[in-house]
Amino acid sequence: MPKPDSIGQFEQLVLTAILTLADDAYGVSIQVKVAELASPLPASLGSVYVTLDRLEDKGLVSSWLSDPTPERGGRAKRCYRLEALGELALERSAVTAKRIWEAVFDRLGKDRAKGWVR
Amino acid sequence: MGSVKKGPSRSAELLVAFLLPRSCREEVLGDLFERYRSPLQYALDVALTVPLVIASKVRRRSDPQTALIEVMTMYLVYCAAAWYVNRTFLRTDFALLFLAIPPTTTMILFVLWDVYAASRRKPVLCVALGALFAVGTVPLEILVCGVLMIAAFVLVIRIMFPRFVT
Repeated sequence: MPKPDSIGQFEQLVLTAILTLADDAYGVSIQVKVAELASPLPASLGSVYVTLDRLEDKGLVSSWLSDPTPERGGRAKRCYRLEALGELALERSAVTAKRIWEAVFDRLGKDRAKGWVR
Repeated sequence: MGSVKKGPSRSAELLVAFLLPRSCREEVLGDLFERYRSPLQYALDVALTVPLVIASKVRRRSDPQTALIEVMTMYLVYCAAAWYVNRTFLRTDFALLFLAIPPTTTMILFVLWDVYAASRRKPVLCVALGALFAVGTVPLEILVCGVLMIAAFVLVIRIMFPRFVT
């Protein structure tokens, strides 16, 4: 399997959102989830679309058009799923984040480090 | 029975549909409809979302290296056209700068064609339209000669290399 390119923080958030949303991962739901994960930093729908295009070009996610629904004015959703390469990229990001957290924890001590994530 | 969600006006949606590239029109319109709360909120959503969507599609469909080769080739053709039909123009101030206008505007039209059109084969009409933007700054005979030379070049390429998209 080819190695995934390194991914930026916003790309990690979008991949995480797609992973947690499972079959319900489409533009609006991904944006809501990313905004929740990124809080208090903003996450606009436009930036989510740009990132989804980039992730699809890298082969980390794939998409398909679902059936139209009346809540969307009779229009279809473009749903996304993680590809194997995307899961690998997210796994590597999670491992790196864990190492960072452990290094911070070791250096600053338990109480001060936990204050960062309060 | 569930109630039908209120959405934006038909004319607003038609305008947004016109602006959006075909490849993402359906889902973006649907997402914006789903987020609709008020006309002002919809307008703000469209203003913040649509330009980014268009920019992303431009990035996806454009190849900078090919675009640079195309624009440089067209520029050389217009310079050659000026040399053959109106050499005096080349001695005027900013002549080489003015000759850059038609290939630049043609390249912008090519990019927009790639994003919005169903076919990847760019019509030679784009070259003629691009040349129109230079009317008034570049003599008409140079523009006409340049367009004809580029059209002939594209035709030869398409005949000799039918799989090559231009």
